[in-house]
Amino acid sequence: MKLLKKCKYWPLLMIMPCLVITCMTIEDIIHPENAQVNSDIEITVKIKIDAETDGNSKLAFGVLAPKSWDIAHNATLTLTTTALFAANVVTNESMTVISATETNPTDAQPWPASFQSKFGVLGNTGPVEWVVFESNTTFQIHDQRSEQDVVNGTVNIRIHTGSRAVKLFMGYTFCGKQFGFNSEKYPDSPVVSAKVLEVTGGTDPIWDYTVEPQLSHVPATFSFEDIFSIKYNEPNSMTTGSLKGGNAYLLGKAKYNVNGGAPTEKTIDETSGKTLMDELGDMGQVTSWQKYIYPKDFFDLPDDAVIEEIQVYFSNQDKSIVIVDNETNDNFIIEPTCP
Amino acid sequence: MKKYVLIFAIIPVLFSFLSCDNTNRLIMISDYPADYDITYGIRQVMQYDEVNINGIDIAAKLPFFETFRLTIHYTDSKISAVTLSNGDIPFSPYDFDIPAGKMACYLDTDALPNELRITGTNNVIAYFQNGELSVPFKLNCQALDYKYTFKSVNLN
Repeated sequence: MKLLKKCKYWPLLMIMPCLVITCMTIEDIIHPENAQVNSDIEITVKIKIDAETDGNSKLAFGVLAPKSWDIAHNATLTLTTTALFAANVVTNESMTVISATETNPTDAQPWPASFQSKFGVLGNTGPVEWVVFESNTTFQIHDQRSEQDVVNGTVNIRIHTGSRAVKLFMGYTFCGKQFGFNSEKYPDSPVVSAKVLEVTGGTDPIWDYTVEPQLSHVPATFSFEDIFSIKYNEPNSMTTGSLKGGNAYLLGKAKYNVNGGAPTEKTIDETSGKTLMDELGDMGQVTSWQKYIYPKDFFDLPDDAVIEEIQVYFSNQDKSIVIVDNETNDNFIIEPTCP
Repeated sequence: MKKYVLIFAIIPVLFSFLSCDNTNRLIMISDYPADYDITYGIRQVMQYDEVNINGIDIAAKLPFFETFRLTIHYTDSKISAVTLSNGDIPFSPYDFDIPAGKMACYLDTDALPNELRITGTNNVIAYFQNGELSVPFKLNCQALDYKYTFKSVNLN
């Protein structure tokens, strides 16, 4: 009977963590339905701060977006809030990028690195970056004062899109700038949400960061003068013309010049240890192989060569199977992404 | 109960006598060489970027990294010179020219991490931190960082 009496509080105990979990939430994300390349788009993110404790802080708001959009310089964020406490009400307040020298107090990393470390790239397979903005207003939150325990906010984001069509998981997160991921202030997991945004138009094929592309690189950002991997991802649904079950080789050509002279082309078409790729195996949807290269070494170029273009394709050992870009039906073009 | 307390108190004291003869441990063997070389090869080549902030070891991905050698020469048990061979690596981790042969050098212990410097220059060959020798560098892309760490490959 005593046990039963104790049990009557169990539902309450089970609900309590849920109450904590709801203390900071992203209520809604509204993306434009017809976002176009080279245009301004409007995104709305609705947030809610429901105090479980007290503390005054500015708002730190992170956005995960394509690196090529450079939203630190090409985005405008404004914050509008509703609250019973007058000092917590702002209308169209501009948010500014947090300085690179400021750090998240919970891990002492600069804010973008901190969010990157905590949340990663939210499933994106292309180059994306976290940019973190802050409110001008310091919000005064107090769980014991009813007028100060809830703030509803709307962050309006105006972004100028890039020249290339792209589909990706846009990411959003926020926390008190003063507290970071402080577990005492925010006992639940940090709030983060992702939603697919598709930007269409332009003449180039769409970059789809939501799926594993045929070709990808680690790191995602590199130049031809760096070391990077070329990774071939073959859908597991592919049965004919597949490289699965044997060795895969990276072959291709580099176009380069020396001292600004006429471009010269160097081809690598031998299936040998030099071009043999490492099999990464079944990754779920795809089977992958990769090869790290330092391009000048891989293509045997002179030290003073300036590489203009690299094209690659993949083959089996006797070259009876050749894999090229299924969008262009030609060699894959390696595009350096270092700014 | 008192008997056990006494036993527990005495046993550690006995072990402390048996285990820690500091005087003997610190005496240098008289014929231990004061002049010697330690040659290092690359253990790891860490590549750091914004996504992989803890780094990825790419040493085994490119065979030319196996050919790098760094030899530290000790005279009177102190670092006196270094010899570097870039092997077949098609780039240098340094933004200064490395002369062939032995280069006089010293360990700057005033700097943190400690710096292995070529004597008479500001050029740092490597850093010592937490007992580890490392060479951080960049190639071209400023968003990428690289770092060599080392393992001893022979002791002359």
